[in-house]
Amino acid sequence: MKILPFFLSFAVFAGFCGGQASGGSAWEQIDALLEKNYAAQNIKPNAPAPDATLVRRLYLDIVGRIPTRDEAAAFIASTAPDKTPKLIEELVGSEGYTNHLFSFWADLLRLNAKSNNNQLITPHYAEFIKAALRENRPYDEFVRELLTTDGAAWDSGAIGYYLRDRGMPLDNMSNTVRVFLGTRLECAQCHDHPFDKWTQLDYYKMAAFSYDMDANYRPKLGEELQGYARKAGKKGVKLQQVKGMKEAYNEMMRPLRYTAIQREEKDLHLPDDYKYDNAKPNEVVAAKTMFGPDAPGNLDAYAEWMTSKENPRFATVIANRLWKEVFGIGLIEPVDDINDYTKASIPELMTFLEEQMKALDYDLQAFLKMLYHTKAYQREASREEILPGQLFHFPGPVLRRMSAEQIWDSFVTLINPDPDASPERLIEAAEEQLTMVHKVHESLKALDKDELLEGMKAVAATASQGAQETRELTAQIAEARKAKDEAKVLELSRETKGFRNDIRRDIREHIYEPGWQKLVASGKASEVFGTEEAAEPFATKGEGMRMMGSKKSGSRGGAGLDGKDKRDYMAKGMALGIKDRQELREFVEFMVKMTSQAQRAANLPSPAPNGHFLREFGQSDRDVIENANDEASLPQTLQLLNGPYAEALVSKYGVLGREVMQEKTPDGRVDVIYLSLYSRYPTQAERDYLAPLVAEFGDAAYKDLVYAILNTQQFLFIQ
Amino acid sequence: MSLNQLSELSRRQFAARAASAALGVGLLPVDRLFAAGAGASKAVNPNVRAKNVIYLYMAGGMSHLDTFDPKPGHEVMGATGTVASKVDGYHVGEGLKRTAALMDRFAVVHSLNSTQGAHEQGNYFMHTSYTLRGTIRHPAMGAWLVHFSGKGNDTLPGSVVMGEGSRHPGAGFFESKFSPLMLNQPDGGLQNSKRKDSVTEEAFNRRLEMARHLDQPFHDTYQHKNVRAYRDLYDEALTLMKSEDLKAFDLSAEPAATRERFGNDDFGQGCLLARRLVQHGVRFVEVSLGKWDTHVNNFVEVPERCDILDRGLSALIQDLEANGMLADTLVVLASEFGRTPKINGNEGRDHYPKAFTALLAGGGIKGGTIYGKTDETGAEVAENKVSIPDFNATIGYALGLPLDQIVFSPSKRPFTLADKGQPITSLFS
Repeated sequence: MKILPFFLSFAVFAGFCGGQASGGSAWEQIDALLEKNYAAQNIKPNAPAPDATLVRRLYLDIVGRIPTRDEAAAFIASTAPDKTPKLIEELVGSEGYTNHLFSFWADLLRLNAKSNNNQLITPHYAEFIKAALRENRPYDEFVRELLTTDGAAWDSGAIGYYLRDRGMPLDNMSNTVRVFLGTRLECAQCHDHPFDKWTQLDYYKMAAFSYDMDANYRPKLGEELQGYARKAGKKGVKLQQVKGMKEAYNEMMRPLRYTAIQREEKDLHLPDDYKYDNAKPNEVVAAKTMFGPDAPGNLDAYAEWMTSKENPRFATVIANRLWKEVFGIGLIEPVDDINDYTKASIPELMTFLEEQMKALDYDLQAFLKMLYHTKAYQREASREEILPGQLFHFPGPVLRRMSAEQIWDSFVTLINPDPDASPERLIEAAEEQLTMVHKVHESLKALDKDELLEGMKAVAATASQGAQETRELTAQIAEARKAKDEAKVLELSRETKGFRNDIRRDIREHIYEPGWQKLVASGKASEVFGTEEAAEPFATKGEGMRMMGSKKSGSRGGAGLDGKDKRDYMAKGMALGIKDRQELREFVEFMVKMTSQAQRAANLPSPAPNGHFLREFGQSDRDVIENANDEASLPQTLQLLNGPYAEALVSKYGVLGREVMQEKTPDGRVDVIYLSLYSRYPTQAERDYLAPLVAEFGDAAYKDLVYAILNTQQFLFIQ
Repeated sequence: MSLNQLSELSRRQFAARAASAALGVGLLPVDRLFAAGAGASKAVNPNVRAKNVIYLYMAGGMSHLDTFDPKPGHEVMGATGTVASKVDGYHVGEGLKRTAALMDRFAVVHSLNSTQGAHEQGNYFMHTSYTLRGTIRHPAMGAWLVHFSGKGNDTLPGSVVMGEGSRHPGAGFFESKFSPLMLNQPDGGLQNSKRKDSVTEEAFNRRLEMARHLDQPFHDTYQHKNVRAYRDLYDEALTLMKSEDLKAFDLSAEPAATRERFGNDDFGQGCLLARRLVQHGVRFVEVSLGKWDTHVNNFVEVPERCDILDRGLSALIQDLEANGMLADTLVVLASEFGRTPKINGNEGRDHYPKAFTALLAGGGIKGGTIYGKTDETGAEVAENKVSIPDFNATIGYALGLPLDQIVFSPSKRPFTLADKGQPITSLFS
């Protein structure tokens, strides 16, 4: 890592014409542009941030959490002149960076596992995004992949992009334009845009590009079979049985819902009530790009156009969004309502960033490093408050409240000894579930039509028998109810509850399993799933159940832990020097609880459930684009005052609790608390204030101090 | 803090807003671009009685045939019998005996018609009057109510949602302060509102004093709005923790006999909590009862649901009446859709948005009204079709909310409380 000596004349940046730096490094050129603007605006830049402020900010901004005590102390103690650039190089691209940037993308792309059509795909879509961040895939390539990937969930998690908006292809297009081109088209979906130049026809022409991406996956097999079953019905199969076959069919296909995106040529028509002169209602629309060079009317050309260096907004938008991530406010605000009249607050700088983004070939890590290396970023946060609409000249970054994820992940850092690690168990569980669905798909495909029909008939037969039994039980229940025999009602009702599971079991036995056996016999099973998987039966009872939505208990796949985990924690506890058996047990219990809970936000469901700490602090509900907020609210203060996580933080088994008690002197203990929470040593005034409290209240004072600091705004804000 | 206290400011704001809506003044010209058109403005309630709403949501799609729109004697009824209600000639499902005796308090709308046949979409439509879209989140009724007419008690949340709230649209595009408080359990109280038993009051106060002292230099340096907002909220949190209003969440303050009457389940206790919350000034409380998605085994599942619903709903109506609260509290019973008259091969019923039933009571509703009709099998609306926006406009009308008032989302898109819905004014006395 080399820092070029600062040397920059006006001639250098006046002569700048894009691409690599021609005089100073790129970040020095950014500083020079800012300094020119300070001079023009008669503004004094802020003082350089002290080490302690900087280390806390760098960790929060790059890896999304406060530094650990050791990380903070090491940076403050280091006398190396290049410690800051070194730390930036080390952090950008680390696993913590992946976790942090994931929240940025999850908010933009609305990763949402709550809705039915996204439950299965979301973990894999998330993994796709994390892998792109980890491998630092060029941004334009990443976007092209999102826009063009079709196929099944087990082929690529990127199909999550279209599955997310299943049934809403028009909305999907306006979201695409808003996220990647910073332009709002959604108003033009129903009428010409009232505030911008876009017409409804422009809208439909753009939507025509991606209209072929069909999220309503209907395997061909299904349609054929349905017809076949209808015919069979006509040929004298009893009505009740045909009825049963429809249910059997639905149940058999259920696991395959929402598992694929099919690219199929389809015409997009204007709405029936289209009211402008430039086209007729219900007319078929030909694809056409909204600006810049046109593209042939297919999806690949559309993705090329979107991400092309000729596209006037693609590079601007991502450069501006990342600038905002780093400095707290964009050069263009709002970041996604750009029109022909939009002007950046420092136009020359915006142009420079855009050119850099292209010159770096959309290497986002390199771009971010460039911003972190600027002197402007490394200054103190501005004391003045920037009001909406006010121009900001970046004398330093803006004071920001930590995002919900940053606050949560900082708590995780103080509780979990390995905060950035991804929990393998969760990834495994998601993969297992996907494999199950994939196996269903392949097993069904392995059977020919007659075999499938035989299977369905068998299912329908037991189902109709089950229905008969249920009717009889229902009548008996009604009798028991009349007789006010509550116990009998309960008992009989219980007997009816197994009905659906019986149908599922039958489908497994009569359809999936025979299909799987055929697949194994033909050698295709080991080809697709590997020999190990092919040696297994279609599903153990547990797996089959879980695939259908209920939890498998006591196995490694779910959130449950097996004996091995407990033994691992036991060993860890002993390594930490815990000897007492009771304490060891408590430590294991704490770790078991914390392994499932104190995980980084990126490894929890997206979004976290209602009422979760993350949601209280403003994590996006992932329903609409960029819906996170940093507003203060009552549940937040209550959470910090009385919530369970503040409690976990002072547990003697958590990271902080342990580290505090390992220190022997009062000063040492106070130092640990300050370094761990504020990433700095206490001032003399703070020491003087705390000393008598420690003398009076003893060990309780340390708990008091931790609680007190958690409830300061200094903790929540990034200076 | 007195009960049902509406802050002066919001009262004035509301008056101003209501006036501009009624007189058609104060609108930007651009509104006209989107307004339903001159002359299409909606009815304004001359006699507003409802101040609060208790909204009972039957999640999963409540079978209309087996509950409030039975077809006695017809084969579509399967194993479900019926029972005569307090309203002449009107029968309800036999699982609803207690409610049957109170039907003269309700207006029954038999002719709901939704365009959304999947749970997520149907639920969203029912709650917002708009179809689910990928580009915007619309506010639910509770958020509209608080937006237009303020909180009933400054210490407590404006609206509360209990039960299956994970997909609730909440405040939609409104600021987060309009979000309902989500409670998973009716008897858990307000989350984190109690000091931990392990922390003495003395230690608690010591910590707060410490925090304030240590944070002063930061506050001196950064005099930002959001920094100050936190300090103010700590004051509010401490007020709340000591507040009498917190008792609103405490079900143990109710006599055991009352708790028993509502049923020993989350829905029943939720109904009771809803009454307590309304008493303390929470203006909109939603309580949901799930598992109505009876694709399989409808005739065993529905009676079980009915049992819970019947107990909770009848106890709620009687309790509100006894407390003199029914006059100004609108009780709504709604679901995302009904279920097929046709019984499927699994002794179940499937989704059916084409025709289904909802109930209203209290808050100015004329009891004993039967509105709309389905055909002999409950498959088609035969009379007075009511769209979901119409139904929601009726709730807004009961509350005297300005149905015509256009509100712009942050993305500058225009919306109204019940989209283009027209209230059913004949349901009111």
